[in-house]
Amino acid sequence: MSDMLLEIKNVSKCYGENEVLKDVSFSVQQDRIVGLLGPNGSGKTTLIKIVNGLLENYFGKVSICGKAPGVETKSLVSYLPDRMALPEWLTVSKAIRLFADFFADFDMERANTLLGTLDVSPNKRIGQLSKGMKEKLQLCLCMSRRAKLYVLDEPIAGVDPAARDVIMSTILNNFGEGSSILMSTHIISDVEHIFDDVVLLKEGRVEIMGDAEDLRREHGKSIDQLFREVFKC
Amino acid sequence: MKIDFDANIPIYSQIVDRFVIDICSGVLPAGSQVTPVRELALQLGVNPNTLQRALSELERRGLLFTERTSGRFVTKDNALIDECRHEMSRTVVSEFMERMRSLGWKGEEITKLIKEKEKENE
Amino acid sequence: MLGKLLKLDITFGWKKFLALAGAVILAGIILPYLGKVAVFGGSLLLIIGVVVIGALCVYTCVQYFRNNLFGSEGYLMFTLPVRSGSIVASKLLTTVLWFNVMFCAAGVALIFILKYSSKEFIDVFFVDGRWKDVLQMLLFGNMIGIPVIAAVYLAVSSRNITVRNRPLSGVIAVIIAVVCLWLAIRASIWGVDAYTMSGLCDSLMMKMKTPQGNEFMFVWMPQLIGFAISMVFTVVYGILTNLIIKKRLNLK
Repeated sequence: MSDMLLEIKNVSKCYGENEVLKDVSFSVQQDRIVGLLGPNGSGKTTLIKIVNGLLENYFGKVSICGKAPGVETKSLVSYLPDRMALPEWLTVSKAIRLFADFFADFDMERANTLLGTLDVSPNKRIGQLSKGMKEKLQLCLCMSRRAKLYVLDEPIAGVDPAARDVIMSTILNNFGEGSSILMSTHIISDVEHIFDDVVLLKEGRVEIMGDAEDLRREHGKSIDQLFREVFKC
Repeated sequence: MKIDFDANIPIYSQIVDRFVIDICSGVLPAGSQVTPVRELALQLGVNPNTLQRALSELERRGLLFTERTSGRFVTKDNALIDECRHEMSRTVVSEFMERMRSLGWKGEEITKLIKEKEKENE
Repeated sequence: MLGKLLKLDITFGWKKFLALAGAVILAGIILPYLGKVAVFGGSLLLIIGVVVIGALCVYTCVQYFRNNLFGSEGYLMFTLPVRSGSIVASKLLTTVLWFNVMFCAAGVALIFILKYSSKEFIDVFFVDGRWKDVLQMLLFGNMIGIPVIAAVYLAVSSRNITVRNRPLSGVIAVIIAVVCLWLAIRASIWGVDAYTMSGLCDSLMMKMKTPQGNEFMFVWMPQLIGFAISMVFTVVYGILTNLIIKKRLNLK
């Protein structure tokens, strides 16, 4: 119980008549990489918003290290949104200082090392960077926090295959002891080998859930194959 | 170490198989140290937990052992390595024999074909 | 945390508003040389200038508020470990700061237009006690301006309540803004009037004459009461804005 970093119990969310999440339950333990899989519109982003305290009206219970989403949990969760959230009018170095200011768990050294590999001039405005650079910067800032739970929303969507490897190894390299990653994606084949557990969401409901290796053995196929079967029209 | 993973079978068992091959063939010499989990996981591009599972399996089989302070090592038990090598080879041979037989070859003919191939390679 | 938020908001705006203030002061210096500029006669150039710069200021603040909180940047702002109340407070405070900067710049420009040379100005300013007038004008300006700012931000945030029908939510927002700022201004001026039991113009006129008798009672108290009332409205609007954000935030 105590090493349950994230617990989602019977979470439902409607937008008007549209039921986006239906009775979703799963948990993320310490030291695990969990894949939240599903096509666009399956409710992944909505669920992630709830975990990050960006959505308040929902049914069910969500707890991060035993606490409901709020100011305290925002210090425990490091979030990588599926879009560019960094103010474009800030310079790279100011953005780093922003993170260092607000997040006690921000590791300045690690951030500078990661940025070094990106070869980004610290005085450049974020708005002047290329799209790929912006995404890497955001990933960099996210992974430079020594958070308990990293929530990554589609980190490799819209990224070319070479950059994907860089992103995946950045993620693997920086996920520390005692923390976990919840990663949502609809591109499974490239990344399924890093997941400990997977949760497949179909139209807001949990369709399949479990240890990735066990699922591979049980069904005799890759998670990608399983996914295709589940979502066959 | 680099492995091209087949996502249709459990990843950890593919890692186990690769280790067995490397140990049997001497790529990983008896008594040599195994790269630490985090580093190796990064090299292979896998989740450290998955790698850990594979390494635990290898330890269970006796092919690896952990020394508290110094790390993980390949076993020095050459007899065990040899036995492993033979076991793996038996599987390879039986698979090979089955495929040759399905092509219609019989025992003596198969041996001849092998010798011919060996000569070619020299 | 509020300090850090203030730092962020000020970082965004200081260059822009310093430039705008500079432009205003510059205009004040140059305008008199461009020909007949009658302050209360309504010179076209002056009016255009005031409107343009005023619109720019409002646009800058509102755009920043919208983008930073309800645009993509919201995904960062609302995942910072701060209470949403601090975020709203920081936006309000920095806007009040820019308001005062522009108000003072306008004041300085006005002085140039009224053709006070520096020496005369200093004499009048300090000897005649006119600096108190300036302070009063500042207080009056803030009494009107601050609740207006809060009302506008409340209106912008209210667009979050109605998820569908974007044009309708825009109309509602404008209505809210107008109603709120009218209420606040009416109430504050009432406060000023009620205390002096005379019209607003009268109390302003009293201020322009050389203050005699109990200056504090007749000149400052009404202003302070009016200011207090407007602050109450501001706080209420701020709380409502915070409530909307806390309960109904829905980033796209």
